[in-house]
Amino acid sequence: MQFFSLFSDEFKCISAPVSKVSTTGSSKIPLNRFSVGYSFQELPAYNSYMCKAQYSAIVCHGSDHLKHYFSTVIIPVMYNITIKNHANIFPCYTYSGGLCDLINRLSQFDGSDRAIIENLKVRLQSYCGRIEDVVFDSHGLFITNLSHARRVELVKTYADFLKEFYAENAPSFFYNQSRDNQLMQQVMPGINWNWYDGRDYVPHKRVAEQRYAGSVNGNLGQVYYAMEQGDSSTAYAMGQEKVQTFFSGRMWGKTEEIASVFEKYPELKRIVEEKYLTDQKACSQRKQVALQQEAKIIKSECENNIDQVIACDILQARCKAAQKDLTNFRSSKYIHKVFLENSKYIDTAFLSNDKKGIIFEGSALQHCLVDEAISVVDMVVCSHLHTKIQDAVVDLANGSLLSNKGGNAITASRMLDACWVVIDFGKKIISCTYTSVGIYAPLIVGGIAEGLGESLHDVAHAVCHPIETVQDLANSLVVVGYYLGKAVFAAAEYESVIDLSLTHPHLAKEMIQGLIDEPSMLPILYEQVKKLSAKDVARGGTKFAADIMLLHGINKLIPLITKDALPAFVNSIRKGMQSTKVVVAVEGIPANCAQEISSLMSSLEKVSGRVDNMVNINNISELLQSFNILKYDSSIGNVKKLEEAIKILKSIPGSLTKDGALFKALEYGQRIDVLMDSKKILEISGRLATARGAMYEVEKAIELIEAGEKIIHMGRKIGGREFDIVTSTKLIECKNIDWSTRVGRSAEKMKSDLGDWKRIAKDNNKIFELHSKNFIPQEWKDVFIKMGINFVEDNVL
Amino acid sequence: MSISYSIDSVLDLSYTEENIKYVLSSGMEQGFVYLEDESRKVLSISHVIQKILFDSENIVNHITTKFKDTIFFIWFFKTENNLLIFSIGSFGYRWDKEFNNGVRQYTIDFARYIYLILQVCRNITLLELCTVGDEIENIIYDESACITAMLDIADFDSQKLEYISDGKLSVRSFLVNIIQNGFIVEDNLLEQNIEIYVHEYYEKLKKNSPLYLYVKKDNIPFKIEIKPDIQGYDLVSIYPLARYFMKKGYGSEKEKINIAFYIQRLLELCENFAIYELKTYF
Repeated sequence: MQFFSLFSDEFKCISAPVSKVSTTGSSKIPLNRFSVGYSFQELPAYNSYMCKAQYSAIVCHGSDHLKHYFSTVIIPVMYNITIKNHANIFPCYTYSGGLCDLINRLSQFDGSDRAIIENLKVRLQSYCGRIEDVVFDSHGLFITNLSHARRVELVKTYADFLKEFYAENAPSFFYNQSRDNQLMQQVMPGINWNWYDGRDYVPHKRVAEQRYAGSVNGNLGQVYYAMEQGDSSTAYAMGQEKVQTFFSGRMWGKTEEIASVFEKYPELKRIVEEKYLTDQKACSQRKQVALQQEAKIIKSECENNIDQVIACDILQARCKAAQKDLTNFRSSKYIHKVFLENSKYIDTAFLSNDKKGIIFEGSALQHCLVDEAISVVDMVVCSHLHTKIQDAVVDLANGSLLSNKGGNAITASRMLDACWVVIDFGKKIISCTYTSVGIYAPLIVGGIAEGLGESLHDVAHAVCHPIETVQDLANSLVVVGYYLGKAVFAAAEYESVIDLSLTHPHLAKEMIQGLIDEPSMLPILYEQVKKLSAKDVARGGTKFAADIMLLHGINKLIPLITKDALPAFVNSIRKGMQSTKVVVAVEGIPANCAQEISSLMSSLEKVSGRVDNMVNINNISELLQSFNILKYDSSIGNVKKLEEAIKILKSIPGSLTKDGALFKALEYGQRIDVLMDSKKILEISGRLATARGAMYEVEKAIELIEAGEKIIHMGRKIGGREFDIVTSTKLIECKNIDWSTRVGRSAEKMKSDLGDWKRIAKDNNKIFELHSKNFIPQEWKDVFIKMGINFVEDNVL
Repeated sequence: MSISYSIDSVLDLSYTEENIKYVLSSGMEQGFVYLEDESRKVLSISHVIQKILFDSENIVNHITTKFKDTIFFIWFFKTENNLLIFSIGSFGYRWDKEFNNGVRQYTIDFARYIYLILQVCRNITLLELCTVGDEIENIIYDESACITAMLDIADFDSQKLEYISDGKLSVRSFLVNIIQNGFIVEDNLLEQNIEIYVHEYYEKLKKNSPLYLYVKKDNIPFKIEIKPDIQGYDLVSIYPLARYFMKKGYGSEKEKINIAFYIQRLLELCENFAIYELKTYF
């Protein structure tokens, strides 16, 4: 067994790392051999801290994972920081903690790497310190214009880094990278490749704090990063943000300061400001051109009166506004009044502070579309449409306002088109409810209505059900799908045009022109669907519409479309086209669709299983009639309560399924006539607790409905977690537990759950609320307050 | 009330930073990715340690962990005698399964999560393991030295014909699990006479009589007990018999009964049955 130092062993090195690892067999340390066509002078080790560069701990002892991490992450970052872009060293530039983040990640490596990791971290921190010494001045401020001497020092630091970790391969590595860098080429001949500075550097706490304050708590990194990404708006905003910085005094006390990046770095402010103003100007011009092009498209569409479904006066208003924009484009700002009772349906981001209207700046067409969005909201709120439909329309109207605000009039108008047809569709559902016969009709209508917002597969199944009475409805659904798809497609197309306009403005212009002369893909599909038989429209057409609406919450998606997500988004729309092909295949044309058909059919079969899970309303009354009150615990077995619950909840999705709260209460709430046996009482207590919990959900849902809340769903999974009650604004969890028993592990787990529920609610723009049937002790209330969780206590001591 | 499931395992390790790190590293080797709650950024082990042990501002002490297509929390607790409790739970995008054997159910696949814990703790001695349903605690009630799982094999009380066939089918599935997982039954005639045994065992269970089987796997003997309980569920237990399978894991001072081995056997026995609860009693 042989012992050797990790980083250097055949040389004297005062500050070389001291950890030892053991290995078996002999370890032959390779001699320096360079194959680079460079001649250099070998200098003697003139300082005691110089270490001989002929052995690499990474190469000799690192696991493959560590080597990979080093070569793909650490080295590129070191190269970037020292040679290419010194801003990489800032916190929040690429990594939240800067280079330190990467060093800390080394702790993830285990096993054979464990022995070398600690020293590796010390050495990398030393390099980090050396670089910081060069790029920061004595006051902890970043030197925006590094002198030649400082840049040379950084190159040398990088060379030292390579020498230490790549030993004899360092020169060739350095040489290859120097091909694109003049400074590296200049410095290379003067580098002694046999020795490197092996001193460990531990920055003083005060110096580290001063530098962090100098980087304005990471904001400097974010400004540089945004600038590099070409996002001058973010850079400008971040540069102005004031933060509190502090660093310890030399002896005692601390220096506190509230400053922004721009205040600390006036030269950087000038550069960012200049870029920001130029970009803003270009953006405004681009927007104006785009709006005029869009006005042209809308005018053309309205004049040709393509969309028969849309009421004529609405089209005329749009057409007039577009005409106005084309002849005299002018941007103006004024307020559009909103009825106070309807203002709660409009996103607060658009509303004025007093919520009396929408302050909007834009062209005539844009203002016209704002008015139309307000009309849509007015109409849908006053209507008796299913809540799902109302929600979908309100969301679409808000989406239209958002697109409009972003200067995208086409998407805004497409979304409003969708609003009108969805309203029309909703009215047809109401009419169908009254005219259709048969026990399945309400179920199907419910399914379709629900599907608009959420359960699209159920819609597909429900409409595919071969019942003649729903064919008209299916047809309407196709129209809805068509318009929704059109809205989505417009958004995607708009984004593509924007992208294209940056690189190929002429092509972008042609693309916009194309929108006028050629129908887009989705109308063609619609025409195809129309040619099919009524039955197939119900089958394939609805699937097409449903697929389009698989992008449910469409309105929420549109503002979130990022450049990265666009291809996937557009592909989703094309799903609709594939479904149409399936319909064609049913007629026996392309054989290659067979697989698609079989998968479609199997998915429909699965869906049918889920729909069957829904309890028939008739069965419930039968069930209640056979309900033996004596069999149930008193907290559950109240027939009147159950009847009332069924009546109120029957239209709420998820409430009457076999896994739903009501049936869970019935399933678990049966009292067993064995209560004389204490052991068995304990055994069944768990089941009764579940039953009471479920019954509390039912009671709570009824209470919320009576209080005027709109319940969208009961027992719904969102973000991977189940919520008892989902309303249009809240995600609610009901608890019928004794809080005083929630201590220790159980309490910790509960806190974790609460935190997660709150996070999911926040991600879905909803409020998380906890309802407790029982008294909540003060210590739990304190936890809720600390976590920012809203809670409602039904019983107060 | 949403049911929040978790699995607690008591390890033969003291509650120290080093041991927690060891478990976390072991998890990472299995493919665990530790995430920050809000930003979902990947955390290093040192960050995780910092968060759960030293961050006094932290109200919640879990580690959000992603593994393949499921997300769950990890907690570290300590017992009264300072032993480390490794818990996973609050499963988001949880592994559910349509269980074909027994009463058909689409529910959480506890077995898969338990296997995951056993994998992470493969070098450590496990002292206890139990599943916890946030709202349905203490359903399993036993006092002997055994490992018990609660299943719903069939409705043996029912007089309806379809339940009879279901019951026999379930007993048959159970015996097939025994055969296919390589358990050696005492008289070794199970495979040849399976239908006779199905009938015999079904009749026993129908009369609410417990069923006992003495089996061996890897030459380690244990007793299997199946008994219906008052709530209509069925408790399947494994009782280790001498010569016990012992283990001395990382950080253990001496050999202990290898509970993980017996848990695995129980999971094999209950393959494709929905496990509602599982608990060790030692």
